[in-house]
Amino acid sequence: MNAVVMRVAAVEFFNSLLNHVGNKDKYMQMIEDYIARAADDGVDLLVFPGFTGCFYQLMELNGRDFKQAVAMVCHRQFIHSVLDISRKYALLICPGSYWERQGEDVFHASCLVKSGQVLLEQRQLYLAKWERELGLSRGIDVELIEINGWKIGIMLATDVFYPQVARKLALMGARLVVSPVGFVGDRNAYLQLSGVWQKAQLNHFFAVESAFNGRLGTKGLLQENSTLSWAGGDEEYNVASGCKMLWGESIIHAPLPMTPQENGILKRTSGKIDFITADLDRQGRRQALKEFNALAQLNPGFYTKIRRLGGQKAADN
Amino acid sequence: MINTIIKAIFRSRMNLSRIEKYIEKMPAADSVSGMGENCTDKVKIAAVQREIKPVKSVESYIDIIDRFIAEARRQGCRLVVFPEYNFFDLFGFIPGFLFLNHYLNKKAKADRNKKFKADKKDENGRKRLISHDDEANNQNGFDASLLTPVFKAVASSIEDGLCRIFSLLAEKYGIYVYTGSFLVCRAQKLYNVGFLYAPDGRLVGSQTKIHLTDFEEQLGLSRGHSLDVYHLDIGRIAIPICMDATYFETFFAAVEQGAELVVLPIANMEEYSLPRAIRGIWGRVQESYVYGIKAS
Repeated sequence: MNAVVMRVAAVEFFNSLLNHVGNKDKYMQMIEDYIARAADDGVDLLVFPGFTGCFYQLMELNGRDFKQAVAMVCHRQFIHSVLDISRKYALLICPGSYWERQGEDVFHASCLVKSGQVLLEQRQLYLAKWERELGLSRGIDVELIEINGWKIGIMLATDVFYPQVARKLALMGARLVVSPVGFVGDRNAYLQLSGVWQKAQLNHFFAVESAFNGRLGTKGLLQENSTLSWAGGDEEYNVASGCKMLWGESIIHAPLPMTPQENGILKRTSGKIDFITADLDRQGRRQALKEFNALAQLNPGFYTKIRRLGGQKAADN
Repeated sequence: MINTIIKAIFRSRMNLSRIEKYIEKMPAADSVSGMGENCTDKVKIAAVQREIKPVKSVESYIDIIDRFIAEARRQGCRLVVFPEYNFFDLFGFIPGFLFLNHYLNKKAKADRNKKFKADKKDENGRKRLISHDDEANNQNGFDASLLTPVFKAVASSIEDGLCRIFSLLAEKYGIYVYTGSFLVCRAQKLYNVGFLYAPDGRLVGSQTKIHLTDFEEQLGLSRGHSLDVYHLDIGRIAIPICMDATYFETFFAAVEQGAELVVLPIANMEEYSLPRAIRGIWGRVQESYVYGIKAS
């Protein structure tokens, strides 16, 4: 069945929330509570923050430093736990992201699950410096899944800053992109704006961005209103010492003409709430495209000269 | 017939010897110290923001342009950048110009008054957040292609005249001048093109717009298919136009060729809004780590 409207939701994790987790079972219960809440609200797709699974995995390996933990990590238990929960509810779930092991390689990955099945898996394509230092491997392609007439893709973490990822998803036909994120360095709204918001506007897809705020790792969780600096300079030290500070805001994006204030934002947490929902209207999107459709004015002949896009000109020079 | 008359008007008003005589008689540029010619790490540049002001004579247009370049020079800038469609003022030459002006203003007003309905529901009774008002998309029934013969008729006179004006003013003030863009006609095809002049008045190069707007397509414009980067003593510069900055591909091409500065003339018919504005060069600068200079 093709659905004109899809109701989506995004969770935002805060330190205050994570402080009360305590152990893996309580953490998974918290995740199920959000899923149950979404199901009650008639949500079709729920997105958890980036690193939701990583947080779980680091609890499994408590006591290890960050790099050791990633080297030993396994994703199966987290995914199995999510799949078990998903069997009880009839909605599509993106359980955030996790470290996925395949042989000797570890990837940062995400997925979409429903009713006990993994429907789509996506590995992060572009790694941040700290992820490269951890020895992560990267994915090499993007994929879509079509559900109820909606083509859905995943744009994970650092990939949101690489415009070619969003463009490829759009050209493959993505109408909705889910983005589990968590940013490092100084909290900076403009940095986040340059990610998913920009990509949604220039490729005309809806996007559900879900953010992790807090400490990832074994050093103990920050208290709310902590005075600890989030400065980028501290981050290198944090990785070495076994934790990483992450920030971000959960936002549901739509093309500018479809949002009440023409700002491209259907719903946002503004750092004050942990759960947001919005209805995505496919017909409304088609109308919005009549006003501004950047994809209709692409110039493929020009792009064949760009080496980074597989062209020749720069190489010839 | 009308186009022939308009063409004749522009040929007469954009007469090159008239332009040269007027600029020759203008007061010489004041000398400015500290222009930074010897400083290779830093360069001061200027971006113009201005309104279209219909003029009756080319001399009035030259005065407008001259004031901006003089101010840039006075502030020690080595490059001054003008906006897209930096020639509409000249349509004041045409007695019927008010019609075009009226159309543009009417479209801008229609965009402002765009309304969105939030009262439709899907088959499950859910409220649909937004439904765009189709009426707002109807450009008042105006066929933009009617303007195409007019632009073709005057393109040659405008190109010759403006290139001479900007070349002479660049030389007069001894700074780089990006002309902004205007329509040029090549082999019966119209293009949106900008030109860059050196401090000695020499043409550095030009750039054709690579990505067109819907309105420009309706006008029958053709698009360019390449981007050049100019290696100058003030830096390596690319000069794409307006919508080109909506496409990260433009900036990838610029950076691959070594660009440090991307100059971007823009002109929008819709009312300014920050979210619309930052879909453009702001985002591309964050992705590509070049300086972006936008003139509007």
